[in-house]
Amino acid sequence: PKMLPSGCRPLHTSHPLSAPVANRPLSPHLPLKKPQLSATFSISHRIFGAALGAAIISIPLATKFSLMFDV
Amino acid sequence: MGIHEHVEGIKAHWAKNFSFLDYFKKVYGRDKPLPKWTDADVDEFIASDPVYGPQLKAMRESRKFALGGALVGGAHLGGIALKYSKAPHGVVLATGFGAICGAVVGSEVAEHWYQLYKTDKQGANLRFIYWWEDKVAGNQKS
Repeated sequence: PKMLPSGCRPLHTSHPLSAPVANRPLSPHLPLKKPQLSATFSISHRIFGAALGAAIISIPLATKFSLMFDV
Repeated sequence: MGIHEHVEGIKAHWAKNFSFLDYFKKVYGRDKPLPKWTDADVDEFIASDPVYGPQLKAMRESRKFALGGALVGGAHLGGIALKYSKAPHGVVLATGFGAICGAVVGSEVAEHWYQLYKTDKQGANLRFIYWWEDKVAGNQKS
């Protein structure tokens, strides 16, 4: 068979090797995993942190700009 | 000093610290919202009030600084993201964040340009709100 020069063979293909299957589960297979307390805490921790950060940033900005723009 | 007086002191302390919230209660927490005013109404108030009129006018002028800063900041950070980022949503987020930062910087420039740090911003707004309240009540009577 024809050989590619050394170092040129792609390790990962950018196109699927087989025809796509409908509803093929994607990594990380979240529905297969049993919900665990640590994972639930981690997810809710990030959601809560993002919400708290948004509130800490936006409430002072809203008070500042409402003085300027609302009258 | 008993515990009761101590608690009273803490209450007074925090009531003083949070007294700025009273403004928002008076402007946004009304039982019946005031009818919407126009720029002409605000100009009428500015002409009629020698103390708070110029302050309110300067505050309204400072909007241009904030909007101009938002434009510059959004264009700058959005432009950088457009040039270097491969994520389209990253460009949108960067433009928004740049606009917010630019608006803050622009309003800070206006603060010094018009010496707004000397003015009572809540007071000027409230004085207008009260003036508008009286005007609306007068119109309803006549």
